[in-house]
Amino acid sequence: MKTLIYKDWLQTRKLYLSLLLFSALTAVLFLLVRISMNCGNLADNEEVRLSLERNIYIFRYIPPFVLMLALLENSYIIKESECGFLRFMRTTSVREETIVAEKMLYKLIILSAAFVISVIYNAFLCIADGKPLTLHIIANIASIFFLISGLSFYDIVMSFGFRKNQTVLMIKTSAAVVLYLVWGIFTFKRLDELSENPDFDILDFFRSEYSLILNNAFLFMLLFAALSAAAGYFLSVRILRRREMP
Amino acid sequence: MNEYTNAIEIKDLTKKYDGFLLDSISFNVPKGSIMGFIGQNGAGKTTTIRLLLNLIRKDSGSIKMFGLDNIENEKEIKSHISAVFDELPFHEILNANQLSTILGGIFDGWNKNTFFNYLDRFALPRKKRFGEFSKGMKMKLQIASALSHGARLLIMDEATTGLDPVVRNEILDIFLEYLQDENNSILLSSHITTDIEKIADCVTFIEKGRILLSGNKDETVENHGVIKCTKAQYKDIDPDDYISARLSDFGAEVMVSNKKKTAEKYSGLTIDNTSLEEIMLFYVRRERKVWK
Repeated sequence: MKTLIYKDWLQTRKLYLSLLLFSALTAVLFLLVRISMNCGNLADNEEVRLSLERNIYIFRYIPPFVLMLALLENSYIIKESECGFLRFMRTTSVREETIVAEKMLYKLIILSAAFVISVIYNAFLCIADGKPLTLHIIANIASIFFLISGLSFYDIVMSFGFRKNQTVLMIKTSAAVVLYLVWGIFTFKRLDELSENPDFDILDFFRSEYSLILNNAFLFMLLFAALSAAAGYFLSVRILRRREMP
Repeated sequence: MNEYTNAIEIKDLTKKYDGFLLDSISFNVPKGSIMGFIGQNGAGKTTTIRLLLNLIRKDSGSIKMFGLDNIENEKEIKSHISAVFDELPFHEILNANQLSTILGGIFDGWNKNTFFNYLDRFALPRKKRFGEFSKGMKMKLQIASALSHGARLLIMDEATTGLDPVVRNEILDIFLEYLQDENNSILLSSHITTDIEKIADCVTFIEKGRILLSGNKDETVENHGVIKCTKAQYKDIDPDDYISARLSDFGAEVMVSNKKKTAEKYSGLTIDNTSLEEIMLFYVRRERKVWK
């Protein structure tokens, strides 16, 4: 399984390394904007500085958003079937369970790395702002990634079904974007405002601000990801076993 | 693995698609031999190979490899076989070094040194991406991979198609070396009869989903012959005594399957030796009987 993970990395490393570079550049840009706001040219222009202050939270979302889209990228699995590698694997003694499990594990590794990068990125932003990285930010990032992982594991099933429908891909990507925007922007912004209050308690926030489902949103997303992974695994193995490869 | 006589045993194998039927085919690949599996495009060669490898499901019949059922003992069988197709099944961004690492994790018996020896022998670069390889290089790479994990059976589906004669010759020589170990066997499907004629021990001819003949190659070629005669002489030949006949303005060429018996019956006629290619040409037209 190690060498299959190595193969997937070779096929996707350009994308993920590019995203890492993108995250680093975004962080540097944030730092430059912040420096300009505090002691650069922008510090003298009160109107522009206040406008930027209200909207600079957007920087929080950019790399995690892009990383999230990357997690939905499973074209390398479709490419494997196109070039005949999946058919080749079916001629070896490697079990279908191993093939699918490797894909899931690789996705989990990338998911974990993306989560860590998002946390580090947000920590950098917090330090640049002179604020601590609080648990609520980490929890929100985690819940977003659990949601995306659920979609991503399901997408692995679709990829093993060799579906290349571009319309489905666009709908799926758009749905992910909307989910992220609704959840991320609303929650991040709201928590930012509330966390200015020294008596703010994050648990009170969830209990009071959201409906019953969203109160336990973190756990809900975690459960969604786990169920999606399990369903994705068994469905993918079934598809691989039953799929004819003429 | 148990002792076995035939590397592959196919019995009454049937598979139906829309517009095509693999109709109850049977043949064996003896251990230690090369079986040339010949037929036109669309005859059923690839379908048969896919069924052997369990890439598609059979409708009925039985397949045994190394004396074991190919479905019940699928993983055990597949640990001892190598399949080579007409296209390289690896991503174009990989190179040979990376491929060796990957295949080392897939095949238990992977031998890195053997693989790199074959790469050197084929003059294949280790760090060049597969996307930059020519067709011949890709096929040599596939064969190097297939021969580097101790497989007992090679299954090649049109592996030499589209290659130039020099590369084909090189590959065929490698196959002959592989068979110096009498435990090794090869099933080589092709429509290039000259390749089969050069190295095969046995030949099976498939046409429109049916096996037309199967047996020792030399005996098959030796038993068949072509009568070259005038049209008047051709009319005296019983249709049951020949496969098919090609008529032209100058005379007739008649393919017979039993040279000795035909020579005894039609003593006035000369029967020439034939080739696998000619045998294939005449068998393909056997239903028409007479053609131009």
